[in-house]
Amino acid sequence: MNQGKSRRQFLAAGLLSTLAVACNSKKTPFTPEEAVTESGEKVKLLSVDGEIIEVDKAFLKPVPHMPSVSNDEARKGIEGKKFAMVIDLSRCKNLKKCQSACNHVHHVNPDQNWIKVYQMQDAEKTAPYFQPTTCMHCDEPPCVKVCPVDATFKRQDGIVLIDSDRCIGCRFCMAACPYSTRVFNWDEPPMTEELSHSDYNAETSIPQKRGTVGKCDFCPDMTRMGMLPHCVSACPNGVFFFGDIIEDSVTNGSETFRFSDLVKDKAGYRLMEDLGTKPSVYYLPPVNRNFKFEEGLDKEVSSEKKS
Amino acid sequence: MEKIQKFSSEKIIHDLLPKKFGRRGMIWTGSLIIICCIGIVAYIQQLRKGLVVTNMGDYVSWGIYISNFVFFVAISLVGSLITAIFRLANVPWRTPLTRISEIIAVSAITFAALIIIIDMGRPERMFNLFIHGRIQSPIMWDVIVISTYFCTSLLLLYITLLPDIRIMISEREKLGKPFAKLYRWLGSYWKGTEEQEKLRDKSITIICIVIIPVAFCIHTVTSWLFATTYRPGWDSTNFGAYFVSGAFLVGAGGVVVAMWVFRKVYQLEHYITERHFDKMGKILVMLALLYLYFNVNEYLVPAFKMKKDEEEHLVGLFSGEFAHLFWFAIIVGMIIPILIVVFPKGRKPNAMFVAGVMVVVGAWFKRYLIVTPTLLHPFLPKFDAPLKYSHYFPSWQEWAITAGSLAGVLLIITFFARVFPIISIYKTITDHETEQPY
Amino acid sequence: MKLSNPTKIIIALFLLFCLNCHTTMAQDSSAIPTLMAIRYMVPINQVPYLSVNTKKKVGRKFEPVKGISCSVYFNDTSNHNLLGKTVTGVNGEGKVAFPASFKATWDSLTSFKFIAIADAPAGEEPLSSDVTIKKSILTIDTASVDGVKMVTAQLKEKIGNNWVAVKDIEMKLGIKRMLGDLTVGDAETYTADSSGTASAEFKRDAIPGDEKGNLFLVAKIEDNDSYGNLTIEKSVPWGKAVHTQSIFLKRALWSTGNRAPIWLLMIALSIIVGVWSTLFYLIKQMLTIKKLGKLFDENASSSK
Repeated sequence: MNQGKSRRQFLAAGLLSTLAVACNSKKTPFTPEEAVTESGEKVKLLSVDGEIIEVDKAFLKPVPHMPSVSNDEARKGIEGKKFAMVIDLSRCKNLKKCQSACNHVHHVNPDQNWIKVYQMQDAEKTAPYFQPTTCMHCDEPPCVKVCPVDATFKRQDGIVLIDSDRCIGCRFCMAACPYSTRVFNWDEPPMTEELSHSDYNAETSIPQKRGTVGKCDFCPDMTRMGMLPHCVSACPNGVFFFGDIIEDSVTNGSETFRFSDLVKDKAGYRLMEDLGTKPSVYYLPPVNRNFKFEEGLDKEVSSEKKS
Repeated sequence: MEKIQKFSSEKIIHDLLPKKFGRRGMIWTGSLIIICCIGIVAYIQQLRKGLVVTNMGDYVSWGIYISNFVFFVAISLVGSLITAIFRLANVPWRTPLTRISEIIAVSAITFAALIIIIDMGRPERMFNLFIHGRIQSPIMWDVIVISTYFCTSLLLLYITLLPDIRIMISEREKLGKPFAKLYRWLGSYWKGTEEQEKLRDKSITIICIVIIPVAFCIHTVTSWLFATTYRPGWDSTNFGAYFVSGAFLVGAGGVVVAMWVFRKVYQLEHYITERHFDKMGKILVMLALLYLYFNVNEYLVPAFKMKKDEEEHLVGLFSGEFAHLFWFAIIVGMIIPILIVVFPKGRKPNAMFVAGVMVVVGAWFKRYLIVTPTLLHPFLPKFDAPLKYSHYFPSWQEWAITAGSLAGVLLIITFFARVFPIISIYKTITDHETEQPY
Repeated sequence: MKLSNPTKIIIALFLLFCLNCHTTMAQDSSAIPTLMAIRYMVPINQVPYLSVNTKKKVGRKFEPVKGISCSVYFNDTSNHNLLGKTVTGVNGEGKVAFPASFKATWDSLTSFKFIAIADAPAGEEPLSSDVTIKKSILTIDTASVDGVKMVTAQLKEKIGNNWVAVKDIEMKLGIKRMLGDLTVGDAETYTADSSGTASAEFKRDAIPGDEKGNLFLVAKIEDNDSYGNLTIEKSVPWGKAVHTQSIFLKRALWSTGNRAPIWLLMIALSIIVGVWSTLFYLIKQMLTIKKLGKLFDENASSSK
């Protein structure tokens, strides 16, 4: 957990320094999407070897200020990226930290979940295992195919999002999705004071609207800031790996793997490959597990007792 | 075989002109209006609180509204069956049935469209369909095809109505004031000249040719709303034909019921004769057998293989949670009607009425069985979702809205019969003058 | 009164539960202390800064505390040693760098003690934290040994007037990626040898770089007690050139409405046009009939 946090802070720092470098124009600037809005104001600071360097004032801001992107921008996505997730089933202990973090950040209705952690058993004699499922962000998304109004759409970075300001609530996408990943706001979604004043943003998927569909969004707002999706950083067991497969690497915050090696070495697979949906989420089979299945069940029992 | 009488045109006009509601008519109309109003109240509540007033959930995301929508689309297909197909095939006994089937078609398709809006989570965003419409979506196809069918069947109803409007304008003394203006506005230009007749006749032929593919489309596209998904029970290449054949059956059943009712209420025994019931009975048997054939296809083939994903669904239908409804729909909706109607005695009006009611009721539940059980059997287990989502029984609001919509269809038909002759007077006169009437 | 064993256990559990509730509630109302930590960071642009973090335990995990204003000093908390003030943001972090006016001090010293002092959060003691850091510079370089690509890095600390490589220090050598660095070789970390150089073999052949195949190598020292956090990077043309072809503009069934497949558009349009032109033709026929009716009326009235 702490490691994840420091990682995030570090990433933010890296991002800022990137900007500072760009402003300094001493070195090659980075890809544009990482650029933080410049304040324009410069401050004179000391470098480590005692030189005086002019740095943009934004360098010292605690969090890079990311203006929320326009609807057009949110629909296009980040250029030159193709996001993917790898879920290592051998590490999952059914702690559901991913779920609670996700629900918390996205203000998901109580009882509904965007991330579901299934107890799976493929056949009578085969081993049971826990399978967290997010939205698969398919490359042939059946939900997007059937949407009559472009309310759910696929972006160039592979992410499938929902525009809750446009959704008419026909729920065809829910019928079309074979992964049961979509949930509907049957009732008025939970609202905070702060949320009720803000406009809907497809990248944060909040504030949710009654009568529209919601689902896992791969947290593109976090990705834009160079941070990991909430489920990834919330998982203490490092089950989730996230990354850009054009860069060929995925990370869970503390470990980074070359994506192609990881899925090759561990025989990664995707859910319901036969349907031809081409998911962006890969699973690593539950072999050589870090936990016994029964250990995960304890959690399930205790949470049931509570409720 | 009963004796067929030839009537003078005065008698025909007298018999067939629309009549004022009697006491029974008033009670009937009043109760329909009350049911409609309850439905409207329920819908207002749904508008205020959102779809949470329904018992739908993330699994059963389409419930009784959608099954009712499919039912309406199905029954509206009959307009094309009786009018268009019979006309093109030159079926001589179709005259008293065409208008009944046309008005069933128009009213059912109107409420099919309304039900879709009722089912939407954000009905106020309807216009998005026109601003941001995606032609790739089967819903878009459905919107296009249903509005086309609505226009086509309305046009058909109107064109065939023209000569009758002329008769009603000329009979204004008998009919009194209430709708005189309406009649004049609708058809005062129709003089029945030879040229006009020729154009009208040609138009009807064209419309009859056009309406058949459009009617096939409405139900095929509606079936595609389901068949374009991966879900067990919906993922079938058989679905278009299966839906269309089912639609013909329920439409024919609906017409039989309506024939019986109008015959009783308006004393039309000389116009809707036992021979009509006999003929419709034969058609009903044929359509029921056809639908049964598609049902065997639809269930036997996957049941033979019992793929893992299909198994839960099929077992649920055959012997599980939905078994009683499933067998009710098969036995009462198809097999018993066939058994009744296949014998000449079963093709008498009263027996036919019973068979027709069975077909229609069975068909309504059949639509429910097509929509709901499938949604309760997703690919991944039902898990990490509210427990109440794993079962579905409609809430009172859903029942009220559904009942209201059914009442609404009947109300349109009732009002139509109050304003216009339910059997074409003009055509009946022509039949009686020229050829052997049925 | 004699109680059966299970009853006793239940009562005991109940009491324990009550007690537990009580203590947690007490914890909520009295102060769970806010924690503060100061860290020394040298990011890629080599402009060092101090990062102040405030957090608080909520339930079983830490949550950042925002809005704490603190002052950062070096050596002691006298006013002329005040580097700057900052307020922690939503992520609980505040930053203070060295203003140019401290150049003389920075140059003259080789080791610093940084002290962060924060105002007391409501109902708590004032917070303070300090860290002592030796001034150092991280460098990264590449080498080719017998055709094998090597990445090397050195941490040099200032001793007297000289920069001297530090031995036995652990660091990470990686390839910069969007969300985290990929190690250049198999090991997670590398340790500097007796000459103060950490080196790793570059084993990520054909790893995608930018359009020209350039990628950034990164050396990092994280949370070192003596040197803090240092990062440096270097661009090398060792990657595979990547030309992404976006599927975004493809015409497909899942594309946006204006990018529908041509075949679908053709079929849909031809059906719609076909049917509706027939319907319009029929409406035109109706209008003709209407006109004929009017003509008939006129003829009738004129013949009178």
